[in-house]
Amino acid sequence: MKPDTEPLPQIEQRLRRMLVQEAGLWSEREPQRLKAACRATRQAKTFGQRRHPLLWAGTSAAAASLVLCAARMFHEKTILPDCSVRPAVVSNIVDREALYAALPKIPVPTRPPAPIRLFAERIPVAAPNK
Amino acid sequence: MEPSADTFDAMVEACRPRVYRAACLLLDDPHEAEDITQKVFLDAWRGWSRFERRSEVFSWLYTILRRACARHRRQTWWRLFRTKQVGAWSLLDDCATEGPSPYEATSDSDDRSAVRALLKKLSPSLREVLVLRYVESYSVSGIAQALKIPEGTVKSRIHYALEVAAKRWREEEKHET
Repeated sequence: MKPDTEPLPQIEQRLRRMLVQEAGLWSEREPQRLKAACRATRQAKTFGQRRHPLLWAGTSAAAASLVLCAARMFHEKTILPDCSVRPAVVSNIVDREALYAALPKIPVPTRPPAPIRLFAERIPVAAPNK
Repeated sequence: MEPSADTFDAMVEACRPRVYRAACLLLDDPHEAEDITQKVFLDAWRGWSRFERRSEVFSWLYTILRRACARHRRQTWWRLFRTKQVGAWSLLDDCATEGPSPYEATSDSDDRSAVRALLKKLSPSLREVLVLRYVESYSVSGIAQALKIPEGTVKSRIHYALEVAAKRWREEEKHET
């Protein structure tokens, strides 16, 4: 029967036969190395069970805590002592009395400033009546 | 069945040929099918302790196989896209052509080449249904359960695949005459 007149059940039979034949050929040609590889799947040493997400979360939280503790200890051991020493050193260096003594002296005024001089000759005045 | 290593080994021995031939039919490349089969059993071993044995083992493996094939297809596209070379696109064009590949050129019979060409023309979802229906002889309800789709969808996919096959074979007959 030609395919243009074949009903779908016969097409189905034909497709089934062809697919089964194709699958059978693939089964016969299954390579030996695949058998060995699949058998070795379980024995692979580098391969373990996938861990639960909660386990991953717990592990990363613990690692983060350890890192934070280490950073805090480092801060306390190295940076904080410097901070406590620095004010003492600074106060020793800056001696206010010595600093003021070293500054140039500004003369202290002893008398009041002179009054503004009036230029009397420049002031036009009326001539005296004689 | 207890989730032990021995039962897993027995399962691998029993199911490996079925998984391999299904992978060959879904991917149309025996070398890729080998890699995918290995990945399927690797994933199966990872999830072996969580497998609840409510469904048939092969259905579970087939689900893993479908995911692996989809991942493989995505990675193939991404690999071709990433290379951004003319050679890659010409390779893609070669894949898209209707002509036989070198592997197909060594195929045994006309039936073989016809069924391979038909499978290549069908979408992955249709291939998955066809393999379960005609190679593994699953019922419609069994396929629906294995693929987690409604029975109506299974029937429509089978019907559509048969129509595609009929149309293709009609065209081939016309070309021959």
